[in-house]
Amino acid sequence: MQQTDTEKCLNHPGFKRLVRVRGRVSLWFSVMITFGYGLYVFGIAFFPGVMSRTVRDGGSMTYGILGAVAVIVAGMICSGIYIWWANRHFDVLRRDLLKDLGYE
Amino acid sequence: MSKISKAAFGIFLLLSFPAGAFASGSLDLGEVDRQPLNITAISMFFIFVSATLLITWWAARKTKTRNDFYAAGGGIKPWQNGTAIAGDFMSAATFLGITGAIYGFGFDALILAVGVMAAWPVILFMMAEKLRNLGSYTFIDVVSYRLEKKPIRIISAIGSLSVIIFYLIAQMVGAGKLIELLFGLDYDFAVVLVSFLMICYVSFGGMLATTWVQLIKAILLLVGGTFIAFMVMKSVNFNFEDLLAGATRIHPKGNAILAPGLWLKSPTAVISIGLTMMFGIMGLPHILMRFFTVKDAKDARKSVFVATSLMGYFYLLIIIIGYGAIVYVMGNPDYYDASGKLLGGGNMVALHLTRYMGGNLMLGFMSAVAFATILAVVAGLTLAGAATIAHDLYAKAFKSGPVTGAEEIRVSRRATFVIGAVSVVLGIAFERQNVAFVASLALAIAASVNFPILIMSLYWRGMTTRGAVAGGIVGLLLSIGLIILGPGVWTAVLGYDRPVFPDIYPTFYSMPLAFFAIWLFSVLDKTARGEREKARFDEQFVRSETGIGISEASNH
Repeated sequence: MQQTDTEKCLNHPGFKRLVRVRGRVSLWFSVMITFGYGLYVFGIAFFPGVMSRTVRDGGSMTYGILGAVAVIVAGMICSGIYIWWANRHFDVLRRDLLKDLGYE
Repeated sequence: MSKISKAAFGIFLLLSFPAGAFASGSLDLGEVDRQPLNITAISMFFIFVSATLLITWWAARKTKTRNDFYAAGGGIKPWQNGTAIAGDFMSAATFLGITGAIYGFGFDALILAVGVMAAWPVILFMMAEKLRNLGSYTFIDVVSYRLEKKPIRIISAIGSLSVIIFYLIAQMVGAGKLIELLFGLDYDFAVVLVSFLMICYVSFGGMLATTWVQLIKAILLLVGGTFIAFMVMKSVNFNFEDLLAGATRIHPKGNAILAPGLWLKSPTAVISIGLTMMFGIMGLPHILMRFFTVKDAKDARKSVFVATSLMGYFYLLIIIIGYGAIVYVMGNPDYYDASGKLLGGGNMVALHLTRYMGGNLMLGFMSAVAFATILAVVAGLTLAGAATIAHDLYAKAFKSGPVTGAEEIRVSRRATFVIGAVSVVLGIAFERQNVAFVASLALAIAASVNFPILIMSLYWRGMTTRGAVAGGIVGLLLSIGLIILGPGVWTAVLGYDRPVFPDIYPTFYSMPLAFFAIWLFSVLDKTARGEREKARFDEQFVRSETGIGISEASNH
């Protein structure tokens, strides 16, 4: 019984769409964050000279500090966008699917 | 530099949160100067403790079932859960520790904050909802969903408990030192006091009390931190560059505090700490457990967003507070004794700045909050440990036949007392130990054992019990083994001339090898059981995506 339910769901076009859409969005966001953070870490590790440079001549803000603030802020913004997207689109897909399969 | 770095090292020892992960293994716990009794701090502290005990009493009356005890009945609201998660990270480590690290090393210390902020969004995108859809009380429930229960629960539980115990030791020593500093109490007495309070919260109030304690403390800390950062920014007319420029004029290292290199000396050190910070957090059992306290996957998602936003905000404050401390505390004769030593050691930098900006009343308030922070974090850790022992080991792995909820709660309470007692003994035994190293051990194990098993169980169909257990063993042995052979223990503790393994952090090697072992042993596993486990992935996958088959959450 359980098996057939699982198969029914797996083969449902709504489920396939759900998985594809969410998989793509979450992967894309994760790659973005990991890439930003990776850039920051590799910058410190291999290009300390670049990280020490100031953003404007005579200023005090270095690219390193700017990078740290940027990763922190990017984390907040990306989470916000993801939530907004998931609440608006993902949950709708999921609800439709559950309704279609007779769970709700 | 040596004075500063010593002060900053002192701070590292306090670290409660992941920031406890540090590069140098030769840190030593400096002597702590005991402070005279601070009456404001003590009264604030008593108000806080009374309030939390009241909450515990209230929570205890609501905590009846097993689900109440471990997951607060799944009825925690997303903003509450999110604030509590943020509270787990806005610890004494962040407020006192990172501030102090910035005070000592400037820029390099920022990676401790940035690593956390890189980990959380990824947890949100890849793990939070799936975890909530699959699990019941602990992340081990998720891992063992389609695998052979006993072996996988045992290996994951060993990983979890190692993380919890090492983390707890770091906390207890940090708490003891902090109380010694703030209230002038005896270290042993302080450790016993912390342990007593945490046993009360956890064993009577369960997850509900633990969450509320964490929540209240997080809000207090946010308010206090906002005030201090605001005062700092006001003093420089809200021009951040002026603040940085002011700091370079006062700090003996000058412009170097705005650039890499004062603390992390080699590329491997940077990358290893980068990996440890990001992936260690994804394997912390007491954090993962919080996803099960909310109603459904949607609420899990929302709570991570609340947590990420609050943490991000707080880390931005900390950067301001850290550089502000250089400007207003460094070289200020009010905060140095006759011999030129910073009063109370490097741990006190953030609190000195608090006093400078807000006077004695604010100092008392923030001291009490700093203490509350440690209490809240140890309570969360202890609960996660008790759940692992009672739920994963006792009920699901060793006891044959079904275990009633009441019986499991009874075992949990007993486990809480045992963990409390163990943490007192270890806390006292480790008083002079290098807590930075102990805390980093916890994160490195989390990144090398819990994280690989968890992420593979969610995403890779081919993982079998044999692969997961092999990966867990490899991660566990390598992470602990390499730390012992590395400079952190081999030279600093055991006293040999040269470390067998050159790096402080094992994560660079242990985490990828754990993944490799999971892959290799799963692929080689041709048993019928392995095939069954792979076949069950479909069912797990459907549930993790949709939440079909999940138990209804309770309300309160």
